[in-house]
Amino acid sequence: MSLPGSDFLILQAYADGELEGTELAAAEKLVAENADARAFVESLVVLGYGVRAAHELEPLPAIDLTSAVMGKLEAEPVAQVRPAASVTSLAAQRERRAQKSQVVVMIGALALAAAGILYLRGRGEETPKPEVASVVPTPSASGVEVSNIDSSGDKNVSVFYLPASGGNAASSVVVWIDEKGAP
Amino acid sequence: MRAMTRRNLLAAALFASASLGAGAALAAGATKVRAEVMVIHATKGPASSYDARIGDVSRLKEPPFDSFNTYKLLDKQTLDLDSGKNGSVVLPNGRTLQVSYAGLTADSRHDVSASISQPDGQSYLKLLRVSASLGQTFFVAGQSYQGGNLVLAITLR
Repeated sequence: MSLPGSDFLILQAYADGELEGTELAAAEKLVAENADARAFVESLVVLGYGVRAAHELEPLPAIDLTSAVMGKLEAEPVAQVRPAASVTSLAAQRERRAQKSQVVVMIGALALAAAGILYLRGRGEETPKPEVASVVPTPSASGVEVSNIDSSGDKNVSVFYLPASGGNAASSVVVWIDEKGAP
Repeated sequence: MRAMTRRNLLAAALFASASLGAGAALAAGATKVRAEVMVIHATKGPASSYDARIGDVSRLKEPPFDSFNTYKLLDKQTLDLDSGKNGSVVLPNGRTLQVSYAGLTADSRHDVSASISQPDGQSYLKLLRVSASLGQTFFVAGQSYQGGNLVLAITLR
């Protein structure tokens, strides 16, 4: 991809529908004339659909993560203010490369995250997950079963099995421990 | 506006990464369960009476509970049990009910144990081990208390 770093930012804004007037015209011209620019905008659009689809499947909880992250970023010294574009120095070239790398890493992270969310959602629809069973109360047809009882020797222990009936979908168990015996 | 969009993208990437991590933890099969313990006083009175706070009392109208007709909720506690961890409830007679969770059984039910100890440390019930599914209740009863009996209803949530 042979686009300058500033074009990436313009194309991001273009894909987000934020440009107007001359900026919009310039972006449209760039997209029309440059295949790399076109591919970059298309990848942003596809990514946007992926994120929105995942969000519609399962809305994200409200987390004020943006403010926390941006607050930390803004507290750090701004190293991304570049000198005038007309000066071509080694440092400027490095900066541009670093900016491009940031954009690529961000896109990569988003693509990975969107794919991961969709993958997890897909797995959830294919087979019931054991971890879901551990948080959703779903009475089983097989009721409570006693596997071991050990009481002090001087007590009578009786076990009553209460069968499934009426509103009780599964059987239950009463363990009656009494010095005098069960009623 | 442009900066805001980049913020949103960055936040979405970070949140999605965190979601993936949480999902992986769930997929690893981490298990825990909640045990809701109701301490109920059962007595025999002139007229039937069931404390509304108990909720579903249909089991209390079946044998062996039908030998009493008055049920009053004395205490209700929820124990968050991680696998291998214990939770305890002090009973009105001074004894202590301890509930522990050993994780999932081979048939994906919950392996739960209960024991009751006396105030002097002696054991009243050394071990009751059951397997049950979420939403199911088992009962431990028989302890004499104030002219009646204590019924412990333990429900997995």
